[in-house]
Amino acid sequence: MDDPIVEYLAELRRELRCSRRRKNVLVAEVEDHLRERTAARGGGETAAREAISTFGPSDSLAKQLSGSGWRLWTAFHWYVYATMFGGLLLILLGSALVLSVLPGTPFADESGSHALRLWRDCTAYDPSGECIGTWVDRTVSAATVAGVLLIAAGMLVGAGHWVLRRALLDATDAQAARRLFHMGGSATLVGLGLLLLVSGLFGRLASDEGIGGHPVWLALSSMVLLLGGVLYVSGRRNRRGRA
Amino acid sequence: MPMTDRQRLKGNLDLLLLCAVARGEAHGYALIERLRDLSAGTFDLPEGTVYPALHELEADGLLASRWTEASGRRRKLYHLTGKGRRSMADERQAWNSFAAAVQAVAGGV
Repeated sequence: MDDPIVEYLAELRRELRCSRRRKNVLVAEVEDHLRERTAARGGGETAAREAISTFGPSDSLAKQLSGSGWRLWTAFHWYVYATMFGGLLLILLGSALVLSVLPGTPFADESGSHALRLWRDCTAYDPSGECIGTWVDRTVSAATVAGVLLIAAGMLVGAGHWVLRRALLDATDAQAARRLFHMGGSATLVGLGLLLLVSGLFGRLASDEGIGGHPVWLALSSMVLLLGGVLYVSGRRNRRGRA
Repeated sequence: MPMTDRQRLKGNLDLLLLCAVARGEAHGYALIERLRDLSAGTFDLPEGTVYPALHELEADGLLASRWTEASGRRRKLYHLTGKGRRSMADERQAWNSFAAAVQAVAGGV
């Protein structure tokens, strides 16, 4: 490589610790500066080397330009591996459970497994809506439910990992703290809201009362979900306002 | 630049950069030249200091930027935001009070 600027930029790119997108932005900005300064001093290799010297060694420049969020992100590298591994494990386990109950597959367990009642249906109703036939349970294999839940949990863990990486990788300390607050708060509230909603829903279905009326759990979970949504949106607006 | 000047500069770098950008949208190289010219060569700032400071100001919402094309290269131009303008006014006020206080003590000796 003959051009010292190209060589310097390649070193800088290697040393930078941030997302590829941010690397492109930083390198383009430094290159523009170096080329302009070199041209202003008559061009040539000597002028290029002189321009490079004003930036200092590529490793120290990279350290100054890299976002501190990257350091925060890599500080949790065990967490990163754990979430990736955990998410994958949950998906595999869930898939195995679902496959085990699919009829006609080599994994199918014909001996039967515990069944969960999802719904009760009546074979006949009178005009007033009263059941005059017999109640039939609509069931699903417990293994299927567990499998689907595990796959969903694994995907959720993976999505959380990806979102956190995006939010932290190029962030400054102040930005990282703000983003962690917004994301952690909204994720907790949405999780709690969903838990209330699902548990309330299943509770009502299991007790044969239906989900009519104005149950407290529905209002409560909606409120918690709404709060989580508001916190998330305020975090997004905050980020967009600063971008 | 002597070490004492560098230390003095460190606390005022944000104000200097905000004031330089306030004179008109510019890219990093032009801002460094502008600071050097306006200070008659006193503020010959190293690039490795200026760019991280510009990025920090941008991350804090005091500066905003846009990309343009110049001489076949991509160029990042910085401009002041409303928040940046308010921050610059506050910092300038604080600097004027501080400088006046130093002058009041040191100037009479």
